[in-house]
Amino acid sequence: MKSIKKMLAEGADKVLPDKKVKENIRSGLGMREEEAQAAYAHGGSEGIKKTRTPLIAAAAALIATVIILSILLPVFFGKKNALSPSLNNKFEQITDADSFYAYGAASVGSLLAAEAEGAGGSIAAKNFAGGSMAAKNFALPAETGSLRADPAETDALRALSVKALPVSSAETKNAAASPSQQAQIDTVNRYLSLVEGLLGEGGISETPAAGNDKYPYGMHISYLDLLGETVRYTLYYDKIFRGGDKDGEESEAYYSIEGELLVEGRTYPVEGNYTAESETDKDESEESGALEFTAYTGENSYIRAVQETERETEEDESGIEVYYVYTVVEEGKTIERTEAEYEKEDEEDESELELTLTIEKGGRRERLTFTDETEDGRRVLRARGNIGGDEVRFSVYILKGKYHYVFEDGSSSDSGRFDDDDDDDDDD
Amino acid sequence: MKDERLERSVAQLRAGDMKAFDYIYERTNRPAYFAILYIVRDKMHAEDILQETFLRAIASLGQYAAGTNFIGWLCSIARSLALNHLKKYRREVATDFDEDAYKYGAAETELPFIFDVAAKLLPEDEYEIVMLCQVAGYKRREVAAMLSMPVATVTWKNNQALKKLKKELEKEGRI
Repeated sequence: MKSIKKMLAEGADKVLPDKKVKENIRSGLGMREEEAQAAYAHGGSEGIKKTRTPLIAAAAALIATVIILSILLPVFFGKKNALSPSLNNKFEQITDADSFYAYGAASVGSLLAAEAEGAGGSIAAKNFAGGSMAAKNFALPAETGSLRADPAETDALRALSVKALPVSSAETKNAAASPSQQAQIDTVNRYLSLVEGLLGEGGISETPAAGNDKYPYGMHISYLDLLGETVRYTLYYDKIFRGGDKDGEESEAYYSIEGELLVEGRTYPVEGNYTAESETDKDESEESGALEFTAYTGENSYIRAVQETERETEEDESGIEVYYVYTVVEEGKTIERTEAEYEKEDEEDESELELTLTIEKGGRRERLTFTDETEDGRRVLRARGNIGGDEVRFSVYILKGKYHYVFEDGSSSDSGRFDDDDDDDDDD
Repeated sequence: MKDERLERSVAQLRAGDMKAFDYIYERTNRPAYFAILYIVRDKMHAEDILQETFLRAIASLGQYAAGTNFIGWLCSIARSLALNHLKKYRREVATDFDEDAYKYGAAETELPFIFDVAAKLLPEDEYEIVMLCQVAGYKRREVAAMLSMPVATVTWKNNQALKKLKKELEKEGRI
């Protein structure tokens, strides 16, 4: 279907509405006069200045984005093996309805467990630091098949993996960080836990079980959390195959589910949808999937996981783009929303990766972008974003047994880190 | 899946803050435009109707039930105006020319062939989804939010539309 997509994309310019439509509407709304006055005030020509303002803003944003990406997209995984897929994405391991159901149940189940425990911190921290779905989702290649990663890449990912990073600031040894910086470190530790979740290792297993009196099918889902302990949930469900097709090199499937999920002695109604598609054409391939899984905690309360993955391989280039949103809604109101965007592109000898996390909670929005660099032979995470209304930019050095934070003003702080020898990155 | 920022912007615009218009337009013009294009199948007319849609919608913003589905509401206005246009157009132009109106000057702009096929072949929801995903360049999750649908449904319908188009164009010998 690539040819169809290409034809549609190529025709966009001839089909999409002209920009003048918007200007005509603005004019029709009486917004034109204001524009003209503004133009005179700045000495420009009437009717153009205001029109240009959004264009200038858009151009500035574009330029800023390009600059940021240029600066913040360093080579992530070293210098080679661009063609080998770098991640054994658990999402791609969803090959049938049952694996989808297990995945969805594990995802939302871990959120529910975290909620039930009432642990502090954000849902991301509770969820991922506790070893949960994304940790299972973005598993590093261990023993599984053909998607084994290059060791250098694995090291890079593991460098990002925080491994049960202590969130408590009590475990953090201050060197010279100010209180506000310490608060930022605590926040970043939570984010790093999420990074661990997204890029860490793990696996979900599902075991068929008898259904209950409401639903014909049953399944036990288990996985190891980051502390190595087994977490178990049970799902009773009715699987609904909505459609699917296999036509030569193309295949697709669409499932949905209704049922109930048992998490730590409590039962939650669940529903969800999943689609998967793949297409191979000579030297090109495309795979994508979309998952939505909702567990209801009340009449107007639920936890929902939405995930979307796209992977493309074309001759010497490959790329993967993953998007996650975890939303907690109580009484119809969104309490917390965690969004993660992960993008990686491999091209011949170069590889680029960017991970951006956004957490919205209590009217606050925090956003951080992580990239990985090598500095004087040491692995360092560059982070920039906005925490608590402050623009922040700092580096996190991945050292044995600890993280070393360095802020722009030169102050620094160490934070404890679980580590193991296997994770050390000696490549650098 | 309610678009909270859009709802906030609508509330601002309703309160007279015209600055909110830009976001509302950028967020909603594509779904409304394709709803119109599906009916009138002509870019120039679709643009005119899109313009009229926004002016009418903003003038009657008080009728929109806040927090429901602004894009859905806007698209219903767009469809209504597009259908009115079509009725008027059909009164003015011989019916025989409908299929290839642009050849006879009855339509203003010729769309690339595949778009004409898409409008004739696909049900409206699939047409809208494939246009938003493949032509307007929105991510499926964005389309899902716009149309208040699960992402999986958007993905499925997008694929269905692409397959139908492929089959039809193969039949026509275009690919």
